[in-house]
Amino acid sequence: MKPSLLLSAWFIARKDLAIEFRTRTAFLAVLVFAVLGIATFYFAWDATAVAAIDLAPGVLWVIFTFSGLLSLQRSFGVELADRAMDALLLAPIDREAIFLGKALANLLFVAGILVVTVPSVALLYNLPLGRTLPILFAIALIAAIGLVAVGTLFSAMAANTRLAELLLPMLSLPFFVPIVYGAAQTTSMLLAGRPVAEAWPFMKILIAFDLVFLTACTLTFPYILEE
Amino acid sequence: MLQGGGPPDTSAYYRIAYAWAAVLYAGYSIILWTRARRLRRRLAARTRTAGS
Amino acid sequence: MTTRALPDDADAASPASMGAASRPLFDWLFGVAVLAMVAAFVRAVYFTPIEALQGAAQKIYYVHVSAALSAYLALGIVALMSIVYLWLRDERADRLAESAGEVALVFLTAVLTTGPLWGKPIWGTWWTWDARLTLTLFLWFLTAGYLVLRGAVDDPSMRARYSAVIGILAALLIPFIHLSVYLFNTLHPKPILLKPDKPSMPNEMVVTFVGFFIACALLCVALIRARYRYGVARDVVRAMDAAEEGGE
Repeated sequence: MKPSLLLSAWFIARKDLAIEFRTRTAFLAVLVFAVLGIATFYFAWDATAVAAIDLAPGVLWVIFTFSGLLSLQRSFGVELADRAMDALLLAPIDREAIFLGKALANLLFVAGILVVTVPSVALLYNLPLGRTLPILFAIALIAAIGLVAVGTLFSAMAANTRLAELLLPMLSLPFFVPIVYGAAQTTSMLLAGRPVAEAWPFMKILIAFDLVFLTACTLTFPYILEE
Repeated sequence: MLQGGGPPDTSAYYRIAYAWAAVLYAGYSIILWTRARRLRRRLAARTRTAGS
Repeated sequence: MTTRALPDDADAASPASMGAASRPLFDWLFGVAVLAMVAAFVRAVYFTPIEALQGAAQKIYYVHVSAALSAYLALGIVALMSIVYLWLRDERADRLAESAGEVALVFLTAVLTTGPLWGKPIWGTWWTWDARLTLTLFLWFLTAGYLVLRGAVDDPSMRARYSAVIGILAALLIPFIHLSVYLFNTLHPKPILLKPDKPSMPNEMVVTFVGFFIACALLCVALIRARYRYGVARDVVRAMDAAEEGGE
Protein backbone atom coordinates (compact mmCIF):
# COMPACT_ATOMS: atom_id res chain seq x y z
CA MET A 1 0.00 0.00 0.00
CA LYS A 2 1.06 3.53 -0.66
CA PRO A 3 2.10 5.65 2.30
CA SER A 4 -0.70 7.87 3.57
CA LEU A 5 -1.26 11.25 1.97
CA LEU A 6 0.12 13.25 4.85
CA LEU A 7 3.10 10.99 5.38
CA SER A 8 4.12 11.18 1.73
CA ALA A 9 3.56 14.94 1.82
CA TRP A 10 5.96 15.09 4.72
CA PHE A 11 8.58 13.12 2.72
CA ILE A 12 8.38 15.68 -0.06
CA ALA A 13 8.59 18.58 2.36
CA ARG A 14 11.55 17.00 4.13
CA LYS A 15 13.35 16.55 0.81
CA ASP A 16 12.86 20.22 -0.09
CA LEU A 17 13.89 21.42 3.33
CA ALA A 18 16.96 19.17 3.28
CA ILE A 19 18.04 20.69 -0.04
CA GLU A 20 17.44 24.14 1.37
CA PHE A 21 19.22 23.38 4.61
CA ARG A 22 22.28 22.03 2.82
CA THR A 23 22.63 24.93 0.42
CA ARG A 24 21.09 27.70 2.52
CA THR A 25 21.76 30.26 -0.22
CA ALA A 26 18.15 30.94 -1.17
CA PHE A 27 16.92 31.45 2.35
CA LEU A 28 19.69 33.88 3.19
CA ALA A 29 19.22 35.73 -0.10
CA VAL A 30 15.49 36.13 0.49
CA LEU A 31 16.11 37.32 4.04
CA VAL A 32 18.56 39.93 2.84
CA PHE A 33 16.06 41.00 0.19
CA ALA A 34 13.30 41.35 2.82
CA VAL A 35 15.38 43.44 5.24
CA LEU A 36 16.72 45.49 2.34
CA GLY A 37 13.17 46.14 1.20
CA ILE A 38 12.11 47.24 4.65
CA ALA A 39 15.10 49.59 4.84
CA THR A 40 14.40 50.98 1.36
CA PHE A 41 10.85 51.81 2.32
CA TYR A 42 12.25 53.93 5.13
CA PHE A 43 13.80 56.32 2.64
CA ALA A 44 10.54 56.76 0.76
CA TRP A 45 8.83 57.78 3.99
CA ASP A 46 8.10 61.23 5.36
CA ALA A 47 8.02 60.59 9.12
CA THR A 48 6.42 63.99 9.80
CA ALA A 49 3.48 63.29 7.49
CA VAL A 50 2.72 59.62 8.22
CA ALA A 51 3.13 58.00 11.62
CA ALA A 52 5.28 54.87 11.70
CA ILE A 53 2.38 52.93 13.15
CA ASP A 54 0.29 53.72 10.04
CA LEU A 55 3.02 52.86 7.57
CA ALA A 56 4.55 49.76 9.16
CA PRO A 57 1.75 47.23 8.53
CA GLY A 58 1.79 48.06 4.83
CA VAL A 59 5.57 47.79 4.64
CA LEU A 60 5.53 44.50 6.51
CA TRP A 61 2.93 42.85 4.30
CA VAL A 62 4.09 44.19 0.97
CA ILE A 63 7.67 43.13 1.66
CA PHE A 64 6.50 39.80 3.01
CA THR A 65 4.43 39.16 -0.13
CA PHE A 66 7.30 39.97 -2.44
CA SER A 67 9.86 37.91 -0.57
CA GLY A 68 7.28 35.12 -0.47
CA LEU A 69 7.05 35.33 -4.26
CA LEU A 70 10.82 35.07 -4.56
CA SER A 71 10.92 31.91 -2.50
CA LEU A 72 7.90 30.39 -4.26
CA GLN A 73 9.64 30.87 -7.60
CA ARG A 74 12.25 28.36 -6.48
CA SER A 75 9.80 25.77 -5.27
CA PHE A 76 9.31 24.18 -8.67
CA GLY A 77 12.25 25.91 -10.31
CA VAL A 78 14.58 23.46 -8.53
CA GLU A 79 12.69 20.50 -10.01
CA LEU A 80 13.41 21.66 -13.57
CA ALA A 81 17.16 20.99 -13.33
CA ASP A 82 18.05 17.46 -14.52
CA ARG A 83 14.30 16.89 -15.01
CA ALA A 84 13.96 16.09 -11.32
CA MET A 85 10.24 16.59 -11.72
CA ASP A 86 9.97 13.35 -13.71
CA ALA A 87 11.51 11.39 -10.84
CA LEU A 88 9.07 13.02 -8.46
CA LEU A 89 6.18 11.99 -10.69
CA LEU A 90 7.43 8.40 -10.80
CA ALA A 91 7.33 8.15 -7.01
CA PRO A 92 4.45 5.94 -5.81
CA ILE A 93 2.57 8.81 -4.15
CA ASP A 94 -0.49 10.86 -4.97
CA ARG A 95 -0.15 14.10 -6.89
CA GLU A 96 -1.99 15.79 -4.04
CA ALA A 97 0.78 14.67 -1.70
CA ILE A 98 3.37 16.37 -3.93
CA PHE A 99 1.38 19.58 -3.71
CA LEU A 100 0.88 19.41 0.05
CA GLY A 101 4.54 18.55 0.61
CA LYS A 102 5.73 21.41 -1.56
CA ALA A 103 3.28 23.75 0.15
CA LEU A 104 4.43 22.63 3.59
CA ALA A 105 8.08 23.22 2.71
CA ASN A 106 7.14 26.66 1.35
CA LEU A 107 5.14 27.42 4.47
CA LEU A 108 8.10 26.65 6.72
CA PHE A 109 10.37 28.68 4.44
CA VAL A 110 7.98 31.64 4.53
CA ALA A 111 7.49 31.31 8.30
CA GLY A 112 11.26 31.57 8.61
CA ILE A 113 11.12 34.84 6.67
CA LEU A 114 8.37 36.11 8.97
CA VAL A 115 10.40 35.33 12.08
CA VAL A 116 12.99 37.77 10.79
CA THR A 117 10.85 40.41 9.05
CA VAL A 118 8.34 41.06 11.85
CA PRO A 119 11.03 41.97 14.41
CA SER A 120 12.96 43.89 11.73
CA VAL A 121 9.97 46.08 10.97
CA ALA A 122 9.34 46.57 14.68
CA LEU A 123 12.97 47.48 15.24
CA LEU A 124 13.49 49.76 12.25
CA TYR A 125 10.17 51.58 12.62
CA ASN A 126 10.21 51.73 16.41
CA LEU A 127 6.99 49.85 16.96
CA PRO A 128 5.71 48.93 20.42
CA LEU A 129 5.17 45.23 19.72
CA GLY A 130 5.46 43.64 23.15
CA ARG A 131 2.34 41.73 24.05
CA THR A 132 0.81 41.75 20.57
CA LEU A 133 3.69 39.70 19.17
CA PRO A 134 2.13 36.22 19.67
CA ILE A 135 -1.18 37.29 18.11
CA LEU A 136 0.67 38.97 15.27
CA PHE A 137 2.54 35.75 14.54
CA ALA A 138 -0.71 33.77 14.65
CA ILE A 139 -2.29 36.10 12.07
CA ALA A 140 0.85 35.99 9.98
CA LEU A 141 0.67 32.21 9.95
CA ILE A 142 -2.98 32.23 8.88
CA ALA A 143 -2.13 34.67 6.10
CA ALA A 144 0.92 32.65 5.08
CA ILE A 145 -1.13 29.46 4.61
CA GLY A 146 -3.34 31.06 1.96
CA LEU A 147 -0.38 32.74 0.29
CA VAL A 148 1.56 29.50 0.09
CA ALA A 149 -1.40 27.44 -1.15
CA VAL A 150 -2.00 29.70 -4.15
CA GLY A 151 1.69 30.46 -4.65
CA THR A 152 2.76 26.81 -4.74
CA LEU A 153 0.19 25.97 -7.41
CA PHE A 154 1.16 28.98 -9.53
CA SER A 155 4.84 28.23 -9.08
CA ALA A 156 4.26 24.77 -10.56
CA MET A 157 2.44 26.38 -13.45
CA ALA A 158 4.83 29.26 -14.06
CA ALA A 159 7.91 26.99 -14.00
CA ASN A 160 6.68 25.35 -17.23
CA THR A 161 6.03 28.55 -19.15
CA ARG A 162 8.05 31.11 -20.94
CA LEU A 163 8.06 34.34 -18.89
CA ALA A 164 8.15 32.28 -15.66
CA GLU A 165 9.65 35.06 -13.52
CA LEU A 166 7.08 37.53 -14.77
CA LEU A 167 4.09 35.26 -14.80
CA LEU A 168 4.25 34.11 -11.18
CA PRO A 169 3.79 37.61 -9.70
CA MET A 170 1.33 38.58 -12.41
CA LEU A 171 -0.91 35.62 -11.63
CA SER A 172 -0.40 35.54 -7.87
CA LEU A 173 -0.67 39.18 -6.84
CA PRO A 174 -4.42 39.54 -7.50
CA PHE A 175 -4.89 36.46 -5.35
CA PHE A 176 -2.73 37.93 -2.59
CA VAL A 177 -4.87 41.07 -2.35
CA PRO A 178 -7.44 39.69 0.13
CA ILE A 179 -4.54 38.28 2.18
CA VAL A 180 -2.52 41.48 2.26
CA TYR A 181 -5.65 43.47 2.95
CA GLY A 182 -6.87 41.30 5.83
CA ALA A 183 -3.43 40.89 7.36
CA ALA A 184 -2.50 44.56 7.12
CA GLN A 185 -5.84 45.74 8.57
CA THR A 186 -5.58 43.29 11.45
CA THR A 187 -1.97 44.27 12.10
CA SER A 188 -2.71 47.98 12.23
CA MET A 189 -5.65 47.38 14.57
CA LEU A 190 -3.46 45.38 16.89
CA LEU A 191 -0.68 47.98 16.77
CA ALA A 192 -3.20 50.70 17.59
CA GLY A 193 -4.05 48.78 20.75
CA ARG A 194 -7.59 47.91 19.67
CA PRO A 195 -9.15 44.68 20.97
CA VAL A 196 -8.62 41.54 18.91
CA ALA A 197 -12.40 41.08 18.55
CA GLU A 198 -12.54 44.15 16.30
CA ALA A 199 -10.25 42.48 13.79
CA TRP A 200 -12.40 39.36 13.72
CA PRO A 201 -14.22 40.13 10.40
CA PHE A 202 -10.86 40.42 8.64
CA MET A 203 -9.58 37.26 10.25
CA LYS A 204 -12.70 35.42 9.15
CA ILE A 205 -11.91 36.36 5.54
CA LEU A 206 -8.35 35.12 5.96
CA ILE A 207 -9.47 31.79 7.42
CA ALA A 208 -12.12 31.31 4.73
CA PHE A 209 -9.49 32.11 2.10
CA ASP A 210 -7.17 29.44 3.55
CA LEU A 211 -9.88 26.81 3.59
CA VAL A 212 -11.19 27.53 0.09
CA PHE A 213 -7.85 27.86 -1.66
CA LEU A 214 -6.05 25.08 0.16
CA THR A 215 -8.84 22.75 -0.97
CA ALA A 216 -9.16 24.16 -4.49
CA CYS A 217 -5.42 24.20 -5.14
CA THR A 218 -4.94 20.67 -3.82
CA LEU A 219 -7.73 19.43 -6.06
CA THR A 220 -6.60 21.27 -9.21
CA PHE A 221 -2.88 20.53 -8.78
CA PRO A 222 -3.06 17.09 -10.48
CA TYR A 223 -4.27 18.84 -13.65
CA ILE A 224 -1.06 20.88 -13.71
CA LEU A 225 1.22 17.86 -13.64
CA GLU A 226 -0.58 15.68 -16.14
CA GLU A 227 1.39 14.63 -19.18
CA MET B 1 -34.08 74.86 -17.69
CA LEU B 2 -37.06 76.03 -15.67
CA GLN B 3 -35.13 77.02 -12.62
CA GLY B 4 -31.99 79.10 -12.94
CA GLY B 5 -28.73 77.20 -12.70
CA GLY B 6 -29.83 73.61 -12.94
CA PRO B 7 -27.25 70.85 -13.30
CA PRO B 8 -23.78 71.85 -14.45
CA ASP B 9 -23.02 71.09 -18.07
CA THR B 10 -21.49 67.64 -18.13
CA SER B 11 -22.07 66.82 -21.78
CA ALA B 12 -18.35 66.84 -22.59
CA TYR B 13 -17.80 63.83 -20.33
CA TYR B 14 -20.56 61.82 -21.89
CA ARG B 15 -19.52 62.68 -25.44
CA ILE B 16 -15.99 61.48 -24.69
CA ALA B 17 -17.37 58.32 -23.07
CA TYR B 18 -19.55 57.45 -26.04
CA ALA B 19 -16.86 58.27 -28.60
CA TRP B 20 -14.30 56.24 -26.68
CA ALA B 21 -16.62 53.24 -26.33
CA ALA B 22 -17.29 53.32 -30.07
CA VAL B 23 -13.55 53.53 -30.83
CA LEU B 24 -12.85 50.63 -28.48
CA TYR B 25 -15.46 48.28 -29.91
CA ALA B 26 -14.68 49.21 -33.51
CA GLY B 27 -10.97 48.98 -32.80
CA TYR B 28 -11.19 45.47 -31.44
CA SER B 29 -13.33 44.37 -34.39
CA ILE B 30 -10.79 45.80 -36.83
CA ILE B 31 -7.87 44.15 -35.03
CA LEU B 32 -9.73 40.84 -35.15
CA TRP B 33 -10.39 41.33 -38.82
CA THR B 34 -6.72 42.07 -39.61
CA ARG B 35 -5.57 39.05 -37.63
CA ALA B 36 -8.02 36.84 -39.51
CA ARG B 37 -6.97 38.26 -42.86
CA ARG B 38 -3.29 37.62 -42.14
CA LEU B 39 -4.17 34.08 -41.14
CA ARG B 40 -6.26 33.52 -44.23
CA ARG B 41 -3.38 34.65 -46.42
CA ARG B 42 -1.07 32.15 -44.76
CA LEU B 43 -3.68 29.46 -45.19
CA ALA B 44 -4.12 30.32 -48.87
CA ALA B 45 -0.36 30.32 -49.48
CA ARG B 46 -0.15 26.95 -47.80
CA THR B 47 -2.87 25.30 -49.86
CA ARG B 48 -1.29 26.65 -53.04
CA THR B 49 2.08 25.06 -52.22
CA ALA B 50 0.37 21.88 -51.08
CA GLY B 51 -1.60 21.64 -54.33
CA SER B 52 1.37 22.14 -56.66
CA MET C 1 -22.06 24.73 -32.58
CA THR C 2 -22.67 22.09 -35.18
CA THR C 3 -19.07 21.66 -36.29
CA ARG C 4 -17.16 18.80 -34.80
CA ALA C 5 -13.91 19.11 -32.85
CA LEU C 6 -10.79 19.95 -34.77
CA PRO C 7 -9.26 16.86 -36.35
CA ASP C 8 -5.80 15.71 -35.39
CA ASP C 9 -2.62 16.82 -37.13
CA ALA C 10 -2.94 13.97 -39.61
CA ASP C 11 -5.91 15.39 -41.47
CA ALA C 12 -5.35 19.04 -40.67
CA ALA C 13 -5.61 19.92 -44.34
CA SER C 14 -8.77 17.90 -44.88
CA PRO C 15 -11.61 19.71 -46.67
CA ALA C 16 -13.75 19.66 -43.51
CA SER C 17 -11.23 21.53 -41.39
CA MET C 18 -10.41 23.89 -44.24
CA GLY C 19 -14.11 24.66 -44.49
CA ALA C 20 -14.34 25.27 -40.75
CA ALA C 21 -11.28 27.48 -40.92
CA SER C 22 -12.57 29.67 -43.68
CA ARG C 23 -15.99 30.52 -42.29
CA PRO C 24 -16.43 34.30 -42.25
CA LEU C 25 -15.68 36.04 -38.94
CA PHE C 26 -18.19 38.78 -39.48
CA ASP C 27 -21.47 37.27 -40.57
CA TRP C 28 -25.14 38.19 -40.18
CA LEU C 29 -25.00 38.08 -36.37
CA PHE C 30 -22.20 40.61 -36.32
CA GLY C 31 -24.13 42.78 -38.76
CA VAL C 32 -27.21 42.68 -36.56
CA ALA C 33 -25.11 43.51 -33.50
CA VAL C 34 -23.50 46.50 -35.22
CA LEU C 35 -26.87 47.82 -36.38
CA ALA C 36 -28.34 47.37 -32.89
CA MET C 37 -25.34 49.11 -31.38
CA VAL C 38 -25.64 52.06 -33.77
CA ALA C 39 -29.36 52.32 -33.00
CA ALA C 40 -28.66 52.16 -29.25
CA PHE C 41 -26.04 54.91 -29.52
CA VAL C 42 -28.37 57.13 -31.56
CA ARG C 43 -31.27 56.60 -29.18
CA ALA C 44 -29.14 57.24 -26.09
CA VAL C 45 -27.54 60.37 -27.52
CA TYR C 46 -30.43 62.03 -29.38
CA PHE C 47 -33.72 60.55 -28.18
CA THR C 48 -33.34 60.14 -24.44
CA PRO C 49 -34.16 62.94 -22.01
CA ILE C 50 -31.43 64.42 -19.87
CA GLU C 51 -31.68 63.52 -16.22
CA ALA C 52 -32.46 66.50 -13.95
CA LEU C 53 -29.95 65.96 -11.17
CA GLN C 54 -26.88 64.59 -12.91
CA GLY C 55 -27.26 66.32 -16.24
CA ALA C 56 -25.92 64.87 -19.47
CA ALA C 57 -23.27 62.76 -17.71
CA GLN C 58 -26.03 60.42 -16.54
CA LYS C 59 -26.15 59.10 -20.11
CA ILE C 60 -22.81 57.40 -19.49
CA TYR C 61 -24.85 54.96 -17.40
CA TYR C 62 -26.18 53.25 -20.53
CA VAL C 63 -22.82 52.54 -22.12
CA HIS C 64 -21.10 51.81 -18.80
CA VAL C 65 -23.58 49.39 -17.24
CA SER C 66 -24.28 47.50 -20.46
CA ALA C 67 -20.53 47.04 -21.00
CA ALA C 68 -20.22 45.80 -17.41
CA LEU C 69 -23.03 43.27 -17.82
CA SER C 70 -21.56 42.08 -21.13
CA ALA C 71 -18.15 41.68 -19.48
CA TYR C 72 -19.73 39.60 -16.71
CA LEU C 73 -21.46 37.50 -19.35
CA ALA C 74 -18.15 36.85 -21.11
CA LEU C 75 -16.36 36.11 -17.82
CA GLY C 76 -19.15 33.73 -16.85
CA ILE C 77 -18.48 31.87 -20.09
CA VAL C 78 -14.74 31.72 -19.27
CA ALA C 79 -15.43 30.26 -15.81
CA LEU C 80 -18.02 27.80 -17.09
CA MET C 81 -15.88 26.66 -20.02
CA SER C 82 -12.89 26.21 -17.70
CA ILE C 83 -14.89 23.71 -15.66
CA VAL C 84 -16.27 22.06 -18.81
CA TYR C 85 -12.76 21.70 -20.23
CA LEU C 86 -11.35 19.95 -17.17
CA TRP C 87 -14.39 17.72 -17.17
CA LEU C 88 -14.79 16.78 -20.85
CA ARG C 89 -11.35 17.71 -22.28
CA ASP C 90 -13.03 19.16 -25.34
CA GLU C 91 -10.79 21.65 -27.08
CA ARG C 92 -13.82 23.60 -28.22
CA ALA C 93 -14.50 24.50 -24.58
CA ASP C 94 -10.93 25.77 -24.29
CA ARG C 95 -11.20 27.81 -27.45
CA LEU C 96 -14.49 29.30 -26.33
CA ALA C 97 -12.95 30.22 -22.96
CA GLU C 98 -10.04 31.88 -24.77
CA SER C 99 -12.37 33.84 -27.04
CA ALA C 100 -14.64 34.96 -24.21
CA GLY C 101 -11.60 35.98 -22.15
CA GLU C 102 -10.29 38.24 -24.87
CA VAL C 103 -13.67 39.84 -25.50
CA ALA C 104 -14.20 40.25 -21.74
CA LEU C 105 -10.99 42.27 -21.59
CA VAL C 106 -12.35 44.67 -24.23
CA PHE C 107 -15.60 45.18 -22.32
CA LEU C 108 -13.81 45.50 -18.98
CA THR C 109 -11.61 48.17 -20.52
CA ALA C 110 -14.76 49.98 -21.65
CA VAL C 111 -16.20 49.74 -18.12
CA LEU C 112 -13.01 50.95 -16.46
CA THR C 113 -12.65 53.95 -18.78
CA THR C 114 -16.27 55.10 -18.98
CA GLY C 115 -16.66 54.77 -15.20
CA PRO C 116 -14.20 57.54 -14.29
CA LEU C 117 -15.73 59.78 -16.98
CA TRP C 118 -18.97 59.53 -15.03
CA GLY C 119 -17.29 59.69 -11.62
CA LYS C 120 -15.41 62.92 -12.30
CA PRO C 121 -18.45 65.18 -12.82
CA ILE C 122 -20.76 63.32 -10.40
CA TRP C 123 -18.52 62.23 -7.53
CA GLY C 124 -15.85 64.84 -8.18
CA THR C 125 -13.13 62.19 -8.48
CA TRP C 126 -11.87 59.98 -11.28
CA TRP C 127 -11.32 56.99 -9.11
CA THR C 128 -12.19 55.73 -5.65
CA TRP C 129 -11.42 52.40 -4.03
CA ASP C 130 -15.03 51.47 -3.83
CA ALA C 131 -16.03 47.80 -3.74
CA ARG C 132 -17.25 47.53 -7.30
CA LEU C 133 -14.54 49.66 -8.85
CA THR C 134 -11.88 47.61 -7.12
CA LEU C 135 -13.54 44.37 -8.16
CA THR C 136 -13.70 45.45 -11.81
CA LEU C 137 -10.07 46.57 -11.72
CA PHE C 138 -9.03 43.17 -10.40
CA LEU C 139 -11.20 41.38 -12.91
CA TRP C 140 -9.22 43.29 -15.50
CA PHE C 141 -5.90 42.19 -13.94
CA LEU C 142 -7.06 38.59 -13.70
CA THR C 143 -8.28 38.54 -17.29
CA ALA C 144 -5.06 40.12 -18.51
CA GLY C 145 -3.05 37.57 -16.52
CA TYR C 146 -5.18 34.78 -17.95
CA LEU C 147 -4.45 35.92 -21.50
CA VAL C 148 -0.73 36.41 -20.83
CA LEU C 149 -0.58 32.88 -19.40
CA ARG C 150 -2.26 31.56 -22.53
CA GLY C 151 0.38 33.28 -24.62
CA ALA C 152 3.24 31.88 -22.55
CA VAL C 153 2.49 28.15 -22.94
CA ASP C 154 3.22 26.44 -26.24
CA ASP C 155 1.75 23.00 -25.74
CA PRO C 156 -1.99 23.20 -26.55
CA SER C 157 -3.22 20.70 -23.97
CA MET C 158 -1.00 22.15 -21.25
CA ARG C 159 -2.20 25.64 -22.13
CA ALA C 160 -5.80 24.51 -21.94
CA ARG C 161 -5.34 22.82 -18.56
CA TYR C 162 -3.39 25.69 -17.03
CA SER C 163 -5.81 28.34 -18.16
CA ALA C 164 -8.80 26.27 -17.03
CA VAL C 165 -7.28 26.01 -13.54
CA ILE C 166 -6.68 29.77 -13.48
CA GLY C 167 -10.21 30.39 -14.73
CA ILE C 168 -11.69 28.33 -11.89
CA LEU C 169 -9.45 29.81 -9.19
CA ALA C 170 -10.18 33.35 -10.38
CA ALA C 171 -13.90 32.66 -10.11
CA LEU C 172 -13.32 31.52 -6.52
CA LEU C 173 -11.30 34.65 -5.80
CA ILE C 174 -13.98 37.14 -6.81
CA PRO C 175 -16.13 36.82 -3.65
CA PHE C 176 -13.02 37.35 -1.51
CA ILE C 177 -12.00 40.55 -3.23
CA HIS C 178 -15.57 41.78 -3.09
CA LEU C 179 -15.93 40.88 0.57
CA SER C 180 -12.64 42.49 1.62
CA VAL C 181 -13.40 45.78 -0.02
CA TYR C 182 -17.03 45.69 1.04
CA LEU C 183 -15.91 46.10 4.63
CA PHE C 184 -15.18 49.67 3.58
CA ASN C 185 -18.15 51.88 2.87
CA THR C 186 -19.18 51.80 -0.72
CA LEU C 187 -19.79 54.90 -2.82
CA HIS C 188 -21.03 53.11 -5.88
CA PRO C 189 -24.73 53.56 -6.72
CA LYS C 190 -26.78 50.49 -5.89
CA PRO C 191 -28.35 48.62 -8.82
CA ILE C 192 -31.10 50.76 -10.24
CA LEU C 193 -32.90 48.50 -12.65
CA LEU C 194 -32.69 45.11 -11.00
CA LYS C 195 -34.06 46.22 -7.66
CA PRO C 196 -36.78 43.97 -6.23
CA ASP C 197 -39.39 46.73 -6.35
CA LYS C 198 -40.00 48.99 -9.32
CA PRO C 199 -36.97 50.41 -11.13
CA SER C 200 -36.38 53.99 -10.04
CA MET C 201 -36.03 55.33 -13.56
CA PRO C 202 -38.49 56.93 -15.98
CA ASN C 203 -39.80 54.58 -18.66
CA GLU C 204 -38.01 56.30 -21.53
CA MET C 205 -34.68 55.79 -19.85
CA VAL C 206 -35.49 52.16 -19.04
CA VAL C 207 -36.21 51.53 -22.72
CA THR C 208 -32.93 53.17 -23.73
CA PHE C 209 -31.03 51.15 -21.17
CA VAL C 210 -32.62 47.80 -22.02
CA GLY C 211 -32.05 48.47 -25.72
CA PHE C 212 -28.45 49.42 -25.08
CA PHE C 213 -27.93 46.33 -22.99
CA ILE C 214 -29.40 44.00 -25.62
CA ALA C 215 -27.26 45.61 -28.33
CA CYS C 216 -24.16 45.33 -26.18
CA ALA C 217 -24.84 41.69 -25.28
CA LEU C 218 -25.39 40.92 -28.98
CA LEU C 219 -22.09 42.58 -29.83
CA CYS C 220 -20.43 40.59 -27.07
CA VAL C 221 -21.78 37.29 -28.40
CA ALA C 222 -20.94 38.22 -32.00
CA LEU C 223 -17.38 39.17 -31.06
CA ILE C 224 -16.89 35.96 -29.08
CA ARG C 225 -18.16 34.00 -32.07
CA ALA C 226 -15.88 35.85 -34.47
CA ARG C 227 -12.93 35.34 -32.13
CA TYR C 228 -13.85 31.65 -31.87
CA ARG C 229 -13.81 31.27 -35.63
CA TYR C 230 -10.46 33.00 -35.77
CA GLY C 231 -9.28 30.48 -33.16
CA VAL C 232 -10.45 27.58 -35.31
CA ALA C 233 -8.56 28.90 -38.34
CA ARG C 234 -5.45 29.59 -36.28
CA ASP C 235 -5.45 26.08 -34.85
CA VAL C 236 -5.73 24.60 -38.35
CA VAL C 237 -2.68 26.59 -39.46
CA ARG C 238 -0.79 25.59 -36.31
CA ALA C 239 -1.66 21.95 -36.82
CA MET C 240 -0.38 22.18 -40.41
CA ASP C 241 2.85 23.80 -39.19
CA ALA C 242 3.28 21.06 -36.61
CA ALA C 243 2.55 18.32 -39.14
CA GLU C 244 5.08 19.78 -41.54
CA GLU C 245 7.79 20.03 -38.89
CA GLY C 246 7.07 16.52 -37.71
CA GLY C 247 6.90 15.11 -41.24
CA GLU C 248 10.16 16.54 -42.46
